[in-house]
Amino acid sequence: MPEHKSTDSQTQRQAIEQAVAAARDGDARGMLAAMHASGVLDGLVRRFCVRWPRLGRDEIDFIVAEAVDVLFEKVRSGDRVLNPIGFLWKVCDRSATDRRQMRQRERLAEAGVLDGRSEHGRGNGIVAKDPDADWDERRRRAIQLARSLLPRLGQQNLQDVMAYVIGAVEAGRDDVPSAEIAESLGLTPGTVRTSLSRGFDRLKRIARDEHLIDQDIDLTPFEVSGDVEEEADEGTQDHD
Amino acid sequence: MTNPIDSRSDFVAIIKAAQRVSAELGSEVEEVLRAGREAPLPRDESMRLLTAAVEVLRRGADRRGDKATSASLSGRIEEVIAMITVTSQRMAPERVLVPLTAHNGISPRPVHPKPCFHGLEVAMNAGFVNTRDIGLWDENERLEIHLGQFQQKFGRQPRREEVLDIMLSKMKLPGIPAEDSDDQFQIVQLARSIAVNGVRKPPIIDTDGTLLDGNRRVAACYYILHSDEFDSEQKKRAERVFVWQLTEHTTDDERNAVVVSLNFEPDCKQDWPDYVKARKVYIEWQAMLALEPRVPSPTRQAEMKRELSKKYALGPDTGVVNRYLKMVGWANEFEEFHVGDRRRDKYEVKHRANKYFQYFDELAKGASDRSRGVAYTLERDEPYKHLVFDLLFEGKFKNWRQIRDLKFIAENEEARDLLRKAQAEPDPEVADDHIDNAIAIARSRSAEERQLGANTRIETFVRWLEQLPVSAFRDQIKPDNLERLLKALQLVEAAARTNLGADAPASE
Repeated sequence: MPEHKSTDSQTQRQAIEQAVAAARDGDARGMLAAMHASGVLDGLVRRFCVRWPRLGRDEIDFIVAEAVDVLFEKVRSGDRVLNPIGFLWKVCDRSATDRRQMRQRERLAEAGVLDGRSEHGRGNGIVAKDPDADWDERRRRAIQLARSLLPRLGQQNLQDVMAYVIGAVEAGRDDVPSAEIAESLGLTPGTVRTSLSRGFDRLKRIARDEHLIDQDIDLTPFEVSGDVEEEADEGTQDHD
Repeated sequence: MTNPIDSRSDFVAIIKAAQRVSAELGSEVEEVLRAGREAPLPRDESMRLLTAAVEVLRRGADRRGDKATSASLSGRIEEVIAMITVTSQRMAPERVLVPLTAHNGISPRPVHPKPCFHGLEVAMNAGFVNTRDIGLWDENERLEIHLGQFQQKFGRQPRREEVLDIMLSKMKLPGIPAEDSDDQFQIVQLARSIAVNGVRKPPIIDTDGTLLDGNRRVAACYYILHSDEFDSEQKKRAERVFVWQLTEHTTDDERNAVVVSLNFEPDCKQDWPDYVKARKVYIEWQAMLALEPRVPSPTRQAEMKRELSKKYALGPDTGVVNRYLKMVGWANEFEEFHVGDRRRDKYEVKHRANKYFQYFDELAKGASDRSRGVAYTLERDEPYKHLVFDLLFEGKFKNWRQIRDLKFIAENEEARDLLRKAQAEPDPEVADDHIDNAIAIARSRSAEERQLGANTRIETFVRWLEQLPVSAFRDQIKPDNLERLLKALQLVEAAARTNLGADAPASE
């Protein structure tokens, strides 16, 4: 059958709105039809093929398909998704990151790093453990630690906005748009964006002062590409 | 007690997660939209992605016990996908209805009696439309390889005039066999007929002017309108086309029935190539298998294949379905080998698979231990199979008999050597000779080994030797072989004279 995909971003966004409305009604087929018409699924696959070149095409298809399911479930259960495309992007990226990390762990395990047979982590005298072990408890403590630093951020707006975001991480959410934070806290989106920027800067500075993070640690939220770290990992493995 | 290093890395992970969930993705979102707009996936890839999405959604709904969602995605996967794509077309804002008009005293009217497509009566209207209002069907499976190739080359879907260029073979795409490069779809010939007689069989269009049947006829009309070969009267004849048009009430099932009926059921037009039909059947078969809770028994498989055969108007038994499935299996292997091992362009390979698709029928025959045909031989000899795939890609086989005789060659090193020579030979006639010789040698050896005795072997050899031109001893036969022959003849001479006695002919 012939396809008529949207030809400008406005109609693409309208189609995505239709997709969300269909999901709200529990119409999965209608949601997929609208997404298909919008070209967003195609766009996600294209972008992630570039962003994660080491993932197979089938894997990327599956990651996008899973993100669609996550979006559907979220909307169907009554949650609001203010930026569906951003949401899909973040879910896909998280999923791709998880896959990469899983592979890294598998490689490290094969190299004997995780069971303490190698000297990975040499220099600080500590051998790395399997990052999955006790993760829930460690995560709870890390969140607690982050929260304990919030009063030192200064302005109340900064504290409120950062507390909201930390709460979202604790709840396991994939996306918290500024508009949602603004609406919840009675702030303007502009104030939220500024608060986020300053809040993260100050939080990092405090964490460095407290030696909670290294001076030169990279805190970029999104990796530039899946290739970069994998190559670095392979180098590490070779030296081991 | 928590290790301080772990705590630090956990803290970093939380900060990164907080940044990620709160990040603004304005530019990334724009990039996604732009990529979707300007570089949509080719149809086959898009269908694969939708299939994955439907399957994941189904599983998710089952896991959550969401019966309504399960119901909305129930049914055969291909049907669900078809409905999704049809619905998505309706959502497109640029869909403009193309009205039928009166011409030459003929007003638009319903088609009576209602035409029947694949067992369904489908209401249609008949009337004239301006040829330029008809959109060539750019999702026509006949063009699937070409369109995928265009997408790969230019990163976008072709415009209408570019689809026409593809159909007129004006757009040179790699991999199209030389003999098809002038007018692969035979549009020019059809145009000459239409210029004289008009369009005799009405093309069928959707309400927005999209063609469901008649791509070649409409392409021929376009050709008439744009070519200097035709006079003004002939151009006028091609300006308006009498068509049948679906109505606004046409259902998705009816629309699909029209497409299946017109392109699968036999007719006197240029059908879709078997490659295209077989692939459709193969994809549907895979989808049917995926829906089965366990591996279906032979009885169940036969039942499923009958259903499939009926759906695609392939007759009451499952012969064609079975043949198609085997052929696609071999074609897939051929494509994987050339794309994966030989690093060839996938569309170039698809063109070849399409061109030589009937040969896969021969390759697929005789897979059992009892019959020991071509398939059996190739499956047990990977290098030989690859040699055959190379010869097939290069168009070195001239007919199906050569394919059928491949089973004799595998065990004969001399014959295999000739096949290798055929592969390396640029001159097609010489290559053909090599293949024929390989087959002759292998057949003769095979026949001898199986049934012939010494007398027949000698008769065959002497006849061959007597017919051999003298120059062959100089130009073709290796010195080693000449020496072996001479020694053997000397041995034979002594033995023959002893046994024949007085009857022995005198040597010169």
